[in-house]
Amino acid sequence: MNHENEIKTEAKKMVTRRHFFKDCGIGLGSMALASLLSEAAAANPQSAIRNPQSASPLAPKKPHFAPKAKRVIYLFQAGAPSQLEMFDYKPGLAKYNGKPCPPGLLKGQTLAFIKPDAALFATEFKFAKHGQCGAEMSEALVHLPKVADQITIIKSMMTDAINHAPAQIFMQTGSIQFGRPSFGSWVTYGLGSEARDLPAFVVLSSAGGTSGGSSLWGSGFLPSVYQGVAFRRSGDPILSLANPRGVTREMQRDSLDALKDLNEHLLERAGDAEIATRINSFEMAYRMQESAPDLMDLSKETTATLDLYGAEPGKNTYANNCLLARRLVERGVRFVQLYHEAWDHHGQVHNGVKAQLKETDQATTALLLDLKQRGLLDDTIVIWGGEFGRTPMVQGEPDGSNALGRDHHNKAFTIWLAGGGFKPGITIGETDELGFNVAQDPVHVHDLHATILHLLGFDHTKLNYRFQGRDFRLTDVHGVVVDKALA
Amino acid sequence: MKRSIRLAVLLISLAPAAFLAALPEVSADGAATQSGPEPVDFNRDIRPILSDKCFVCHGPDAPAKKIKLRLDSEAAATAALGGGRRAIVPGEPDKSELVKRVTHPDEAMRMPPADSGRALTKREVDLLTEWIRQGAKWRAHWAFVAPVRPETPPVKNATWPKNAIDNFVLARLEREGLQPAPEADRARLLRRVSLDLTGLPPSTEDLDDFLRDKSPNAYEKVVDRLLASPRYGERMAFKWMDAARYSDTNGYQNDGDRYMWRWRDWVINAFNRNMPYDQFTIEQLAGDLAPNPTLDQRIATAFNRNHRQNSEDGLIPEEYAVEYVVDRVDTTATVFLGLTMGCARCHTHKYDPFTHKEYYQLYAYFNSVPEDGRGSYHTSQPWIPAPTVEQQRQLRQIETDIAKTTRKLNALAAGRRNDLRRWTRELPSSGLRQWFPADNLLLRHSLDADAEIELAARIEQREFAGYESAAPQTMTKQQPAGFREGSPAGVSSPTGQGADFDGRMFYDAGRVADFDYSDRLVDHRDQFAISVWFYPETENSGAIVTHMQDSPGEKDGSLPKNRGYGLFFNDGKVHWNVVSVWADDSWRVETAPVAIKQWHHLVAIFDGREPYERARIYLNGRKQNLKVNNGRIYRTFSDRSANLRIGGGAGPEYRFKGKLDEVRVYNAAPDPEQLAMLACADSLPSIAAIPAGKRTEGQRLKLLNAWLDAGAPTAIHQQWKRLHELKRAKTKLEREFPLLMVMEELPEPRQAHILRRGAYDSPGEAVTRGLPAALSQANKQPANRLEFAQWLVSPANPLTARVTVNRFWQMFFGTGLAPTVEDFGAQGELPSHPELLDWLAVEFRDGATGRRGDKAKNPQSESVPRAVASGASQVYSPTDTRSAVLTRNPQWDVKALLKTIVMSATYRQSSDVTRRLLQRDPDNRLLARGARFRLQAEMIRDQALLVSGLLVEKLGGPSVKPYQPAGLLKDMVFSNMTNYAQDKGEGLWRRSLYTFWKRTVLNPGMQVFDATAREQCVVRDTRTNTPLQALNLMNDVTYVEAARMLAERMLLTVRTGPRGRLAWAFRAVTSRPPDDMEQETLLENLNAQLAYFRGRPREAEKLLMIGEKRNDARLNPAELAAYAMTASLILNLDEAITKQ
Repeated sequence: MNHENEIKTEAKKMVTRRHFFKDCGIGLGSMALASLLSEAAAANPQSAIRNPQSASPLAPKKPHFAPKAKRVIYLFQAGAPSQLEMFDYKPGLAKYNGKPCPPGLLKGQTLAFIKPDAALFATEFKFAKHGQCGAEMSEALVHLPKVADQITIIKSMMTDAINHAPAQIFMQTGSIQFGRPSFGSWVTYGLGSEARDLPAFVVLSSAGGTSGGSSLWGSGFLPSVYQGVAFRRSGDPILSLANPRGVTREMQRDSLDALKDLNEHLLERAGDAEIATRINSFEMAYRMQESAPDLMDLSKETTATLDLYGAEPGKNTYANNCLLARRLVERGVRFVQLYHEAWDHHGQVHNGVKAQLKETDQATTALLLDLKQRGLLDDTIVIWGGEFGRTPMVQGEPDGSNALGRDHHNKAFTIWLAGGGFKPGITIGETDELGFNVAQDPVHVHDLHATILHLLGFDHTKLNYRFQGRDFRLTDVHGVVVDKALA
Repeated sequence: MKRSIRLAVLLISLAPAAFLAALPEVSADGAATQSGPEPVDFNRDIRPILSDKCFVCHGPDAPAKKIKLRLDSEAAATAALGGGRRAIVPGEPDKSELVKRVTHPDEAMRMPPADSGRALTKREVDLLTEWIRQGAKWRAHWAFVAPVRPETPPVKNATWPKNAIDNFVLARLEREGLQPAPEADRARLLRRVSLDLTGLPPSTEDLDDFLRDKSPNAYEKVVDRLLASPRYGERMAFKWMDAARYSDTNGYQNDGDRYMWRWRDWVINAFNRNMPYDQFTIEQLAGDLAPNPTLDQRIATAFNRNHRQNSEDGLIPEEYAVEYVVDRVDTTATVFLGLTMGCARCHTHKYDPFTHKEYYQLYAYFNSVPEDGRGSYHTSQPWIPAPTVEQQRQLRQIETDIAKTTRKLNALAAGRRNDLRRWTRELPSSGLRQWFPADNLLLRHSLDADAEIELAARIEQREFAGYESAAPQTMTKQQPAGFREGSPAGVSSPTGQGADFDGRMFYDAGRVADFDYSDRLVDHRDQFAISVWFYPETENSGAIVTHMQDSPGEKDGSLPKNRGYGLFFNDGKVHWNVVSVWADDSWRVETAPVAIKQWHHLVAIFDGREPYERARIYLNGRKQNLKVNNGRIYRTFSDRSANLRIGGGAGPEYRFKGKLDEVRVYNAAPDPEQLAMLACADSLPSIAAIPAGKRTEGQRLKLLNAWLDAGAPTAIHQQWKRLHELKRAKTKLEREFPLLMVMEELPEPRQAHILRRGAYDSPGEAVTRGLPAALSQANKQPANRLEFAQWLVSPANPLTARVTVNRFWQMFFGTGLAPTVEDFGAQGELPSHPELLDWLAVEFRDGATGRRGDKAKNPQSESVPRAVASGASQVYSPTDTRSAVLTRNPQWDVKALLKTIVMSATYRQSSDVTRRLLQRDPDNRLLARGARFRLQAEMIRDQALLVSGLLVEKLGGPSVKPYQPAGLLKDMVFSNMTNYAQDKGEGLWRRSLYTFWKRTVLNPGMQVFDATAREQCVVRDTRTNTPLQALNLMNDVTYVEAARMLAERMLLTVRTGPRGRLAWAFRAVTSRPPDDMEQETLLENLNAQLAYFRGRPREAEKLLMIGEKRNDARLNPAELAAYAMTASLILNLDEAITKQ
C-alpha cells in the first residue's frame, strides 16, 4: 500500500468513526486529540490554534492550575450606574451639599461635561447596613440586600477612560485601543467550550444597545471562533438559526446527510482535515438549531422561578436575560455577557437609578439565589458593574432648574462580584470623604481582570497570545490579583 | 503505519514551527544531514532566540530599565561588563558570561529567570554556544538590509521551472529531498486563478473555452484576460480596504455614516489602470502635497482619514486627536514597512531598534492636519467635495455652456448699448424703482407699508424677477404670517421705505427658511444667506432675523441660548449664532463694534459646505473680520417647530428696537457680484441720474442686470435668463458632490512631542520629523509627508518592496513567504524562502530595467522616485474609467508581479496532499503543493450571486445595503445612527466590496466568515471554521435566494433532464463536473425534495418568497423549490467555498 492510499484509508476510517465522535460536539475526532493535546494546550493554548489540524480550537482545555470557577456571568450595567446612589455611602456629601468641590480634589481630573466648580451633590437615598457582614446599601436597592452576605463589594474601582465607548472597550478588553480580544474571548480561548450545541461565549442585551458595539465581544487578534455570539432580542436568538420558510427539519436533515456524504467524499480525495472540521460545523449547526429555541423558551421554567426573577416569557427584558444567563451556563456556556445600557444619568440621577433598579434589582438578586439553589454559584463568577462611576458633583444648572444628574467619573466607583471563589460578605476599598478618590485598596480594571482569571485557574501573565511579535494578554503589562477578594 | 493520521499530524504540529529544516537534524531525509554541523547563521538561528528570550530585558529598551547588558548590538554584547566579564567572547564559549549564565546549575543564577516563562531549550543553548564557538558573527537584521537581486539558483530538474520563482522553490525542495506536486488539472487551475485575480469563479463558458484551447499559451491568455478585467480592480481593492481600514461609519459610540467611497473607487481604478505601486503609495500618503494636486491626488489621501473618528459628547478632543495620528503612524508602518511601530508609542520598542523618540519623529509627519479631535457625527474636517467622474463631466459641460452663453450675451449686448442708454434715460418715467438679485432667493419681505412676505414662487410673478427661483418652502398655515404685537410705522430707508420696530412688535414669517446642518446628507449641508438693512436704535437692539423658538430660554450673558440660528445686535456688535447646543456644539461669531443710529447693510452667510469658515458677515458690502466665539458645530441645528421672525425670536427681551428694511433670504451663498448689488440700496432712477463713469460697481451691475431682466430685447433677455439657469444648475450640481475626508497640511507644522507612556496629556521633549536610525542614516531627513512617502518607495528603504510582495504572496498562497506579514522585525517569523522574497522585491521595485543586469543600482541612493517627478499623471489618467490595459511600466508594476507569480509552476501545483507531505510540512511552508484554503467572506457571497445570475456588476458608487436582519443595529448599539435602510433592487446584489461597512455592527454575512470590522489596519488573513458559518450558508436569505435563482437557471438553461441540470449547476459552482457518486447523491436529494414539495405546494411557495428577486412565473413552484434546495446543497459544499 503506498502512502497516498494510506492517507485515504486513514481519512476514511476517520470519517467512518464519525458515529463515535459525532456527539462530542467539539470537532471531529478532536475528543481523542483533545486528551493528547490537553497538556500542550494548557501550557500554550496558542499551539492548538496555530495548527488547525491538531484540534478544534474550542476543545476544552485545562487552565494553569485548579480553578475555583468554570464560567462567568457578567452583568454589565452600561452607561455607568451611580455608586453614590447605591453603595458608596458618603455622609460628607450631605454635609457639603450644594457647596463647590474643594479645588484640591480636582487637580488633574478631567471631566466630560460639567465645570470643575460644580457643586457637591448628596444623594436623596438613605443607607443602611445589611446582612451579617453589614454591607452598606441604599434604600434604592430593595432586593439585593437579601444576598448581601453572598457578594463581594469593591468600592475602590478605578479606570482609565471617561467616555462610554472607550471605557466599555477598556473594561471588556483591558485596552482603550480597539482590536484587542474581549474578556470573554480570552476566557474561551483559555478554557475552550463545554457547550455541546451552543456557542461558548454568548452576549445578551436589554435596554439600549451598547456604546462600544461589537468590539466589546470581539475576538480582536484571536481567531474569530472566540468572539462572542450576540443573541438577538426578538425572534431567533442566533442569526440564520431557523430553516428557510417551507423547509422542515427533516428535509434539512436530508440535505445535511447528502452534504456530509459529498464532503466526506471530497475529504477522501483532497486529504485536508479542514474538510472534516467543516462537516462537523454543519452537524453542530444542526444541533444548535434544535437546542437554541429550547433554550430560549422560558415558559418551560416553573412559575416560582419566573416569579423569582420577575421574568415574562416572550419579552426582551433584563429579567429574562438573567434567567437566560442561568439556562446558558447550565448548558455549558463558558461566558455569558449581559448588557443593560441605561445608566447614563446626566440628569435626574435619583429617578433614573430608581427606574433602572426597578428593571434590574429583583432579577439580579434572583440570579444569585437561583444559581446558589442549583449549586451553580460555587463555580460560576457573577460580576455586576459598569464602565466607570459618577461624580460627587452635580451636573446641571446651579439653580437646579434642569438636571440634577451626575457626570462621568473614573476615579472611584463600585462593582460587586459573587460566586466562583470570591469571598462572600465583604466590602473592599474605601473612597475619601466626598467619594471622589479612592482612599484605600484601589482596584484597577487590570486587577479585576487578573483576579477573575486567577479564579478561573490562570496566571494572568501567562494567558498569552503572540501577535505582532509580542505576547499579548488581557491585563497588558499590569494587573495584581486582589487577594482580599478571594475566599 | 498503524498510528492514525491525526496522531501523526499532532506530532508534526508540536515540532518547532518557525521553519522546518532550518537546521540539519530537522531535515531527517534531506541531503543536508550528511556534512557535519553547518555554520550557524545569525539571522536565521540566533537573533530569533535573542529576540524572543532576551530582548525584553536586554534589548533596545534596556537603558530605560537601567539594565547594563544589551544583546541587541554586537558592540554592546561583547563589551566589558566589569570584573573582567564579557557576555560574549567570540570564539570562546567558555569565557562568555552568556553561556555561563544560560547553563548555570543554580536556578537562581540561570538566565532567563525562571519566572519569566522564557526558558531556553537545550537546542537553543547549543545553538548559542556553537555560534559563539564559530566566532559570534553578527549580521544586521535581514529585513533592515536593502534587498539585492539574488542569483537564480540552479536546479537538478531543469524542466520544471517556468520562471525564476520556481528555481528558488525547487532548489529548496531538492535540498529537502522533496518533489513538487504535479500541475493542478486545468479546470481547477482556472477556478483558482480566476478567484485569485478577480475574486469570482470562472463561468462554464470560460471553462469550456479554456479546456478547448490547446495552444501552449492558453493559460497565459487567461491570466492576461483576468488581469484586464475590471473585476481585478475590485478584487484587489477589497484587500486594500482591509489594510486601509476603510469603513462607511466612524466607529465609537455614535458610529455615524461617512462618505469615503470616492476613495474606494479611486483604489479600484488605480488597480485597474495598473498605477505603479510607488505612485499608488505616494498619492495616498501625500497626494495633497504634490505640486498643484489634481482632484484624484487629493482623493487618494483619504487613505489616512479612514481611521475611526470619535464624536461622543464630552470627550476630550486633544486625546482623540492623538489617537488619529497614532492610527496613521501604525497603519503606515504596518502596511508599508511591515513594522509594529505601535509598541514604541509608550516606550522604546522591546525587540526592534526603534526608540520612543523615533516613534514621535514619525508621528510628526502625520500630526499637522487641520482636524478636530472631536469628530463630527458624519464627515469631519478637512474634507473636499469629490465629484464623481460623471459629475466632473457634467460640471465641465455646464462651465463650457456658461462661458459660451456669457460670450453670446456679451456680443449681443455690445450691439445694443444704445438700447441700454435709452432705457436708462427713460427709467424715471417707467415706474421701475428697485432691482435685487433673485437667484436662489427663498423669500423676501420689503417691509414697505402693507407688504406681505413674499415667497419665491410669488416673487416670480413680479415684474422684476423674470425667472423662477429654487423650489420655495411651503408655509404651514397654522397661523398666518404677519406682524405681532403691533404693526410698524413706515419710515424712509436707503431703499425707499422701511419699517420702524419699537422693541415690542415683530414679524412672524411662519415655518419657512428651516435650514439645517448635518454633514451627512448633501441636502442638509445647507448654504444660506440673509440680507437686510438695519438701523439699531441702541447698542442692544436685539433680534434682527431669527429662526428659533420665541420662548425666553436660557441665556449666556446677554444672548439667548436657543437652538436654531439668529442675527442679533448686541453690545453694539452684530452676532451671528448657529446653535445646536450652546457652547458645545455651535457656531458663534461677532463683528467689531458697529455705529448705532445709522443704516447698515448686512449679509450673513452660513456655509455648510465650507469646512473652516462657515459663518461670514458682510457689512455695507465689506467682508468683516470676525471674532469667533465658538467654531464647532457637529450636529443638526434646526428647530423644526420654530418660525422665521423678523425683529423677534427668543422672547420679549429680544424684540428689535430700531429700523429694518428689505429682508431677503437666499438658499445659497451670494457671489461677489451679487454681494455688490445687494449692498447697493439706490433706486434705479437715482442710479440712472448718475453719469455712467461715476457709478459704483454695485450701481453699474444693478442697472445692467435690471435692464437684462426687464428692459433688454427678448433675444438678450433669453441669453441672460439662460446664463442664470446654468449658474443655478451648477450650484445644484455642486451640492450633490459627495464629500470626502482628505489629508491637508497646516501651513505651519504642529510641534510634536514625545508623549510619555503614550498619553496625550503627558508631553515630553519636543521632536522634529525624521526616520528611525535603523532605517536611515542619511543626513537629510524627509522634510514632510511627501518626502517621507518618496523615501518609502525609494531604493534606500529596505522594507516596502519586500512587505508588499509578501502580502501579494499571502493573497494567493494563504500565508506570506514571511508569515508575519505585519511584522518584519526581530519577532517576525523568518521568510521560508528569503532569496525568493528578495528576488520578488527587487523584480517589483526595479522592474525590467533591474532585470537587465542593472545590479549596480545603489540601494542607498536617495533618488527621487519617478512617480512624483513626472507629475504622477502620465501613466495614470484619473478620469479614465475604461477597464485596464496592461501598462508596460518597468517599475512597481503590480500586474506584472502578479502575473509572474501566477505563471509560476509553484503556483500551478495541485493542492491535493499526501500523507508524507502533510507530515513533513503541514503548513505548506516549503511549497511542495498548491494552496488550499477557504474563500474570503466576500468571495463566498460574490460567487453565490454570480452563479445564480443575481450579481449586478457595476463599478463603484456609494456603498449599498444588502440583506441584513431587520433591527440588528438597534439590538447591538446604543446610537441614533441605527437605521439600516435595506436597498431595493440592485443594491442587494452588488459585489461585497460595496457593502455598507458599519464598524460597530459588521454585516453578519461578512463577519461570520472572518471579515474584519476595520476598526484598525489588518493585513494578516485569518480563517476559522464555525457552525455559525454553516447556519449562514444554509439559512440566510442571501444564499436561499441565490439557490432559488440557481435553480431557475438550471431549469431554464439546461434541457437534458435532472442529471444534466445538476451536473451543470455543480460545475457552475465548483468548476468541475460531478463524479458518479456525487451525481447520484445530488439526484437522490433532488428526488427527495421533489417528493416533499410536490405534495406541499404552499411550502414551496413560502420558500420561493424568500428574497426580493422573483422567479420566472412559468416554472412549476414545487419543482423550483426542490431544485432550489439541491442548489443550496451545492452552494454549501466544502469545495464550493474553498479555493484549491
